[in-house]
Amino acid sequence: MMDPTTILTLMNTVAAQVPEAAVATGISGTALIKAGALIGAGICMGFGAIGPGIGEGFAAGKACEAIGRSPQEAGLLTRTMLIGQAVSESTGIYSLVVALLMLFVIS
Amino acid sequence: MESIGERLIWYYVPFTDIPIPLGGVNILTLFNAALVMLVLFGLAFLAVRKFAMVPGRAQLAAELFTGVFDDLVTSSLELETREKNRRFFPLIGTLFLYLLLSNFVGFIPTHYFEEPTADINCTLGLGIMGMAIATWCSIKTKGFGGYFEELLGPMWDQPDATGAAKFAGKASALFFFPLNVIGELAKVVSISFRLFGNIVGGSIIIIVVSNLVYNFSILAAGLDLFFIFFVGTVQAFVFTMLTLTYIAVAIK
Amino acid sequence: MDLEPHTWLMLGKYIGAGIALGFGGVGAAIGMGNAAAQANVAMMRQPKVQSEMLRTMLIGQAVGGSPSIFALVVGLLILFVSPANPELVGGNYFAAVVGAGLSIGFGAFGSGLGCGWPAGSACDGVARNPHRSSHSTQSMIIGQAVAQSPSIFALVVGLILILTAKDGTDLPTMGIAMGAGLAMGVSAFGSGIGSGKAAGGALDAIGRWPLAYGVTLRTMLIGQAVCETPAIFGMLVAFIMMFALGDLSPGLLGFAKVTGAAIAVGFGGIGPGIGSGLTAAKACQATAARPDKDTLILRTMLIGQAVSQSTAIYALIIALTLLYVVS
Repeated sequence: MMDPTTILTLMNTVAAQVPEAAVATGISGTALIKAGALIGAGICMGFGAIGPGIGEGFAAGKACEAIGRSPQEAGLLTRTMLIGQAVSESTGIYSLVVALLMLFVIS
Repeated sequence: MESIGERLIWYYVPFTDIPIPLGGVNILTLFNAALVMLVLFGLAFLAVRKFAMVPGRAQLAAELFTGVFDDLVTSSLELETREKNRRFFPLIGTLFLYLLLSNFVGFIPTHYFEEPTADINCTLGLGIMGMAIATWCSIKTKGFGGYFEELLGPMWDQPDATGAAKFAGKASALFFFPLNVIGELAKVVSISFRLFGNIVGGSIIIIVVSNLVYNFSILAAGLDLFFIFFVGTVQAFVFTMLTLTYIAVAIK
Repeated sequence: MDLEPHTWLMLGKYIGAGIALGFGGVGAAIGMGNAAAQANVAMMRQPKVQSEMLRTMLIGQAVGGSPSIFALVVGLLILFVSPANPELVGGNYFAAVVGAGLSIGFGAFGSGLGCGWPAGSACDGVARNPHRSSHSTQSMIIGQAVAQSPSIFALVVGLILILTAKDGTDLPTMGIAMGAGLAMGVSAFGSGIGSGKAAGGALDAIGRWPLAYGVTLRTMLIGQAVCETPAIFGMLVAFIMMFALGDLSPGLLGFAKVTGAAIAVGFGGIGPGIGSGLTAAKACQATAARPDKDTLILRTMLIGQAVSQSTAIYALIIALTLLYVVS
């Protein structure tokens, strides 16, 4: 465990160096932060969409299989599928919300 | 290879200075589309010129096509009577034949014959037409209210819910409505860009490969056969089936 | 960065061609390996129709190898076709060829991997019903041809990137070129895998229930077409970036906008593409088992796929917001 003063000094050193390095290449710190937020929003939504997409597809596939076995229960199965997908979707919606936050609040 | 992406566009009405609105007109697309229509008209005329009890070759082909597509439309739509299903047959059959011949135009080895479907304006027009028909059918079967309620999402109409659950269902419409509207628009984009991308991709591959291997042109000829005839047929069928499916989902 | 034109040119050629062929070859290799593995199992089960299966496997591998041939075409173009003004080449050319490599590399990866499943399942189907092997072979070729659409889209975007490479160096243009490639390639990756999964499921089903050949094929085609929607979103965003972007903010901000949009729509397309494919595969099997309920299953499949694709639509919304709304 590093002692707190060392960490603080280290952070200060890093913080002091960022603007300097940025000025040297003609990029200001605020522009860098905004650019980070924009790319971050893209990464957030992009990678966040992978899981729900696969998961919902899986649920829908099983629902199709079940309907093939017992077509008379189609209404119940479709409803169950939609509820399951809605729950699985929630992580995608979190990603959307966080991405929108990064786009409009932070940047 | 400089010819990739080059288009013959008329920005002005010929022999005058009057500009054509909406950024000009792609005259090759119009010409080739008209050519396809003429050929289709000629084939149809040939097929129905003289009906015989023992059909000739043209009549046999036409009857085979009609039978196959009639079955396809009937089994997809599943309306009560065969006559109701048959109302959509002319649309679906014509769409398939038009797309099929359009995709085959590229086989004519001249610069001026290019597939009308290699122009996004053509495929987008056909996609918009298909979705407009599907939407109209949906409104006609369910009424405008029913159609609109479908856009509000699956949780809007819950007769047995009360209190907070009912409110949550109604509130979910705020979320589902824009999503469903964008989803409908996305259908138009996806159906038209799929055909466009496949046809343009095929013609670009043929040009590039024949430039790379100009001493070994049998390869380019084989690719020609694969992309124009095989991919062209499959994609024409996919476009037609998707339009049919959108209509079938809309009228349920 | 101040590099000489020759350095930019050679850097771009080697890195771009490397990405194109490196990633583009992986998918087809895995896919063909899968096909061969399943063919071996099938041959062990039915040694009498060995030659039939060998033919099916070879046809499947030949058709399934074409995505990697697209990657080869783009890689050769990058390596051997030089820009018109070699003395003006800068970072923009570098970004364009790297973008083209990303596009076709990942696109061919997905489609090549996807094309292996139908080939393997077709061999399996031949083993189950040797006298209906033509059904299996035909539907395998159709399924593979449709599963290759994403890589064809990637090829179109890659070639446009190479042919419209600009002179000089500036950050937003570099971002646009690399972003268009990334958006197209990575979204085509998911769609290719999903589309292939759908075709594999359908071929498996046709092998088990050969009588339901027609309806299964129809469900497969529709399911695959829906799987390709994320790739089409990727192509749309790539085209918007290349041709329909107004004045982008200069410098790092513009670069960040296009890169963010590309990552969102590209990676956002992977999940929905694969997920829709899983749905379509199961739906094909259900349709083949119960051909009398085909429209019910088709409708459920379409609803499920539409919900699964809502995340791709969120990604598209974020990408378009990044490109047009954020100032």
